[in-house]
Amino acid sequence: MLGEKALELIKEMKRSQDSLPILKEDSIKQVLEEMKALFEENQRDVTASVNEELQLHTTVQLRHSVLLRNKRCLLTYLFTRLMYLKKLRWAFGSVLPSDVRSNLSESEYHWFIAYNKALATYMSSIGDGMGVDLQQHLQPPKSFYIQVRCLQDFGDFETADGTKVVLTKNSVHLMQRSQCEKLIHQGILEHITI
Amino acid sequence: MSLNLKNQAFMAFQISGLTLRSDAGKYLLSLLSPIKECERGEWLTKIVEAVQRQPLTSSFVDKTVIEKALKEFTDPEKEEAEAFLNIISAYSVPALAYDPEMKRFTSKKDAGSINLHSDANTKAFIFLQRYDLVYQRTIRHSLFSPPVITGLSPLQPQSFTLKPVEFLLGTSSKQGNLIVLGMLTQMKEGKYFLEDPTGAVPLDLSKTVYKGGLFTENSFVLAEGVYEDSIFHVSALGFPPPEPASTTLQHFGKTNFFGGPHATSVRTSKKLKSLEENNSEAMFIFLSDVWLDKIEVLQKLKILLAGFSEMPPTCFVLMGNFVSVPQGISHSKIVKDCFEKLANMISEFPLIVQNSQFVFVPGPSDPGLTTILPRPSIPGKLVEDFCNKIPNSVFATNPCRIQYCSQEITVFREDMVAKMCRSCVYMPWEHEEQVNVPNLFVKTLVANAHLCPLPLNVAPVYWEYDHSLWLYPLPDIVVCGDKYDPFCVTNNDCTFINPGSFPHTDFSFKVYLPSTRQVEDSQITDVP
Repeated sequence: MLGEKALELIKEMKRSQDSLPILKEDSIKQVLEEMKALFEENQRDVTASVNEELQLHTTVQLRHSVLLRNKRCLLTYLFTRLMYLKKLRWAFGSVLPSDVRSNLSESEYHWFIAYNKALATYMSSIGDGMGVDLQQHLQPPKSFYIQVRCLQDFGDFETADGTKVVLTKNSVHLMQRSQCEKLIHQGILEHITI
Repeated sequence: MSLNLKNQAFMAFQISGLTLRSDAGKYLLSLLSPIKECERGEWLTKIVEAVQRQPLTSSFVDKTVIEKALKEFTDPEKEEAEAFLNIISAYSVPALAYDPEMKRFTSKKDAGSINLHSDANTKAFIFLQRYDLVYQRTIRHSLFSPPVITGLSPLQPQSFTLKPVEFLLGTSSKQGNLIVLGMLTQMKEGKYFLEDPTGAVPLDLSKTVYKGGLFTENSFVLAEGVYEDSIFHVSALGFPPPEPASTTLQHFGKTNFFGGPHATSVRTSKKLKSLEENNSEAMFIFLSDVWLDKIEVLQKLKILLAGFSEMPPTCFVLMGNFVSVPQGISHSKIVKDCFEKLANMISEFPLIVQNSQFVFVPGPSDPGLTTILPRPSIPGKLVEDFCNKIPNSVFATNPCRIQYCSQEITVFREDMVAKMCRSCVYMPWEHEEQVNVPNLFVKTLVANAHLCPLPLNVAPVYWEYDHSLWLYPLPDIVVCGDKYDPFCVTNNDCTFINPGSFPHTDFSFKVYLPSTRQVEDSQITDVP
């Protein structure tokens, strides 16, 4: 069936919304090949219609809409993946987990680096030359200090004001929210809520 | 002030999504404090960028990462210089294997954890990995890929489907017109089988038509035929379709299969390409069987060196054996003396010593470990003096790889043609009148994407280093040093050359010009 391969890509993406499966390069290639074949057929028929073969119009129309649909599916597939990467950037920082990294294509990885760079440039350009880390306080904070429990042995951690905290497993600390928010994201600390 | 600087550093990293560990922070502070205040910001951004170029595993940056990053951007110049000519040892070739799940090549193990003598599982993996490699290439070929749109036009070329051996074993009725990709093996004395990862099936080769090639045991073949009564009656036996390197690159992008200091494949580098085109005088000289103990060979070598003394070539590749006959217990001593003589001779041509690279590839009977492939280089102790006199010399492994600008050259010294012909399942010269053995030989190697498609008892291979014998993607030049007559065969944009035995072919050798990709035959004739 025409356009089947492209639909498969979309279906697969829908099934795996919370993860990033490996880029289906060969499926993409197959879709592109189908599009190429359709385009060539259309070219031939259009030239024929110019020479007054009228009954070809519907076929040409159908093929053209398949072409457009395939294109839309491919673009959606690629775009959704990029948006997922973007989400990861905000969740994990600029270093991707290795399982995600191995599922990316070369150009997707380059896009990620470029996005990183653009974000860093923007963040350092605001806030009177000092830069603002927009990744902090993704939710409005309720208190300045929070109590956290350490989930793994991490070692020395130095906060921006120069105080040193030794993070060992199961130790409990009272820390500035801004300092430990990233560690919570990484799964090293756990916010204790009573 | 130092607190301010520290804050600045922490902020800079945080904005890029990285967190500084405290040791890294201290290290950075010690680096940045001596610098003027106005320049600090600029340096900091540079460092952050360098850190981001590193292959990071977590977003926490410690001291070692920063040190590595700094090293990279203090000497980028050095890397450029290294880039243009590299001799790559067979033991440092990236260990890649095709992963059918991921549909790409992934590295098997860390280079450090490969053992020369590995466990028994590895032996089975050799053939499994070779199969995966050939299989992925075959199903991608237009003959086997399904038609894009079914029933579109009658003009479409016929396409075939590959069946696994499992499919044959599972059927009880007669099955016709099957095509199976598998490895030819002799599991029982005198009885051939076709084997793939799913099983093995006995073959009936009595009515088989062989389509070009030296069908050796343990080579991968496409068999076409009928399956009946638990026997696969093969009507035609051919090789899987080869693939030029350009197609491989299209599919696997910038993966560096070849090895060397480059992170990505050198073929895609425009800079190296232009360097190669500008350097039109580059030249490679290939000689095989350089018997240094024979006085005539040394005389002819001297004529050769004198001829090139005014315009030294880029690289001399001399292949063994370096002594004409095995000398028993005093063999190593003779090799050492011979190399000393050679060093004295080369030293007479200072231009060559300065500008040319010498590469020595050991032959089967040279000193060192036994003839298991890949073979290590001649022991350093024997050639110490030589290396002192001629600093631009590399004693390489066999096979070894040479990367020159954007070109890849594989050098292999082994009497392969004779070995392959001996272990053929079908001897074409017994049935056909005109047989071009070099053509068949090259076709076999290209189809198997392997330098040595032979059973392990004929040509033993270190199991974990089998990947160093792969020819995938096909290099630009493969030099097969062989005692067989010289040849030069091009197959799928890859040129196979055999310079032939230097003393046996009236002192002929091959010259390769990388800028025009031409191979020239040369000979040192007697001065009348």
